[in-house]
Amino acid sequence: MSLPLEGSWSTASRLDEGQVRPPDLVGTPAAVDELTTRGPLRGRLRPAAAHVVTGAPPSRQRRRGPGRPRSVPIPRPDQGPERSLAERSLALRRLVLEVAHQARVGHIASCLSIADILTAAFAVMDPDHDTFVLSKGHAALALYACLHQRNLISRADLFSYCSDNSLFSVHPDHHIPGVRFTTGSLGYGLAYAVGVSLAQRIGAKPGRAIAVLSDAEVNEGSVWESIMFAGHHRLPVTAIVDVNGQQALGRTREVLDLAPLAPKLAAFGWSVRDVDGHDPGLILAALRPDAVPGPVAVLARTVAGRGVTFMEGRVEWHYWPLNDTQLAQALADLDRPAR
Amino acid sequence: MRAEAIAALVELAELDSRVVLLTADLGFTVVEPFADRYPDRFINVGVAENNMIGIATGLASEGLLPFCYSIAAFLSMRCFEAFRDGPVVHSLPVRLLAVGGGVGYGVSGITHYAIEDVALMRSSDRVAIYAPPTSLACSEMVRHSYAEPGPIYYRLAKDAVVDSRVPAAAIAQDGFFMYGRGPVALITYGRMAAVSLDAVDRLRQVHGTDAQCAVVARLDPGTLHAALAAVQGYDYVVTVEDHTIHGGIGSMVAECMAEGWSAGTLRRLGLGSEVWSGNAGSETYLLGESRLTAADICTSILQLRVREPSPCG
Repeated sequence: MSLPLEGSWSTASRLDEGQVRPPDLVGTPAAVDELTTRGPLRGRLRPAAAHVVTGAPPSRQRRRGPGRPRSVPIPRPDQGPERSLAERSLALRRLVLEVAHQARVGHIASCLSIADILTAAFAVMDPDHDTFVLSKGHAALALYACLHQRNLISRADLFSYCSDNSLFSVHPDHHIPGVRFTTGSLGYGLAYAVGVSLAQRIGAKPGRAIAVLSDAEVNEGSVWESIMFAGHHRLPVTAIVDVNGQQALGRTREVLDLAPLAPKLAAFGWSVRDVDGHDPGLILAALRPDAVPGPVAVLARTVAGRGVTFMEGRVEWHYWPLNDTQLAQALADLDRPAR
Repeated sequence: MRAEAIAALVELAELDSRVVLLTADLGFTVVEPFADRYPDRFINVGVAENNMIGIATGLASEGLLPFCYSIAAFLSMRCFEAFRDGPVVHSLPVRLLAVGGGVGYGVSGITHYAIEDVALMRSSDRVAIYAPPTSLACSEMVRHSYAEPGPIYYRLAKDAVVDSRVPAAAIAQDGFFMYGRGPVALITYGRMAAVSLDAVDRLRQVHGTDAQCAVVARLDPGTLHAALAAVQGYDYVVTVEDHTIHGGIGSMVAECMAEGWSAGTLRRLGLGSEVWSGNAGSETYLLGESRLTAADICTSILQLRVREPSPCG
């Protein structure tokens, strides 16, 4: 095993033992106040809607095989100055571009597409009880950047992306702290999240499961099996669909039209929230649980490659890597005032 | 055998609250004893095998022991990727109760035959394959193995199999057992064990030829090696399975021979091209069509002893 890996595992074990606790910024009442009174969530979120971190973490290590370094509970936010959700998203995008450029690997547009989704999802999740699944595994680099922002993986880990002997490949592996389920083949993440949710119901345990799917992934029949099941059993699972309208070989409406997705999901018993997928505050608000337990679908309307003008909505950036000139241009583009 | 597997699960669920039973809408009159007693731990996911495996993966990752019930053909093939990317990749204790291994669903036709399942499952060194030879052995093996850490594929005969020659407790403990002694060594598993033992008895009684039989009920390299080590004083090795001869126990033994276990003569008996003919029938009929009755096996063995074997079965 590589050294960076051991480093991240030791971080994981420290977090598990509770010896190192980054300060709680998001998820606590103070943080919610901060977000709702001064941050981008002004007037959009009631404090009661956010999860409050309480209780000791369950020992997930104990439930798993002995001696197997596994994922740790969803991390608390990173140390340092308080940052708004928008600032976090911006920093996440910058990391994605820098790492992708260094690795000369694509899937950049997919990562930029979910930057705001990840920022919001990790802000609402209870690190002790909730489960996150990146079902669209090809955007793993965005998840790695997010995990790094939350001090779960080191900068060296992050920048080992796609290098030889690195855990951090194009699709996420469950040996990485914060990654509970290995993905890459589309159509399985939601079923896993549903299973976790069902186990919580059977065991009367707290927690929720959130899966992030690509819109094209919804082409897979297995996704609809899970959608049917969660609707029928009123499981409190959350699916965030990254509706960027794009898939590998073209636009989703041309390849296999999903529209109208919202009424389809609603017909399967899901509570559907249609939001701007590039407003992390709105996504965060949309992630509130229903008063009546049941599955929630957040249709996050996104633009593939969001933040980098020359990538936005361009199918080719599903696969292309960045050269030096393009990186400089992309980073400069990110820093322009919001449109 | 499926009824005995469920009965064992009912007992285990009483003792261990982690035991959960899922079905992809199959098991009418079979799963009810569990469903009635533990309704909170019984889930019919509907006709959705992929989703069942994904859900089971999530359940197992939360500390439960999910058993997934369906017909072996569907459980092994339709959701193989979900099984591989879920429980196998994550080393989670998801159990497949695969009913009707081989041609147990005879009159249902080719879509219901699980004749490549062992090849698929053994291609991963992380999956334990159990193929109990009798109903009693099935109960013992389920009890013995249910809490093992990794994924398990239980290859079960559909109907009850009773055979007093099979020591159930010993086979659950050791994973195999030896029957008889002689220069012909049969190696088999699951449903074909009783037929193979009949062949051993018939060889002695009708043809005056001694034979031995290794019944392997746990199809992993370690158990197979132990079984092969127990096979002594033979001239010919004959594998018998209700599976194609490609990737099943015949292939496993051939690999061991190629790697130096034995320089003896091997003959692999399994389901032949007859299964693809479209002509369905009872399990007994189909085994007969592929020359897998005890009498057929004896004939194959006697032919083997008087002429050179064909190179590829």
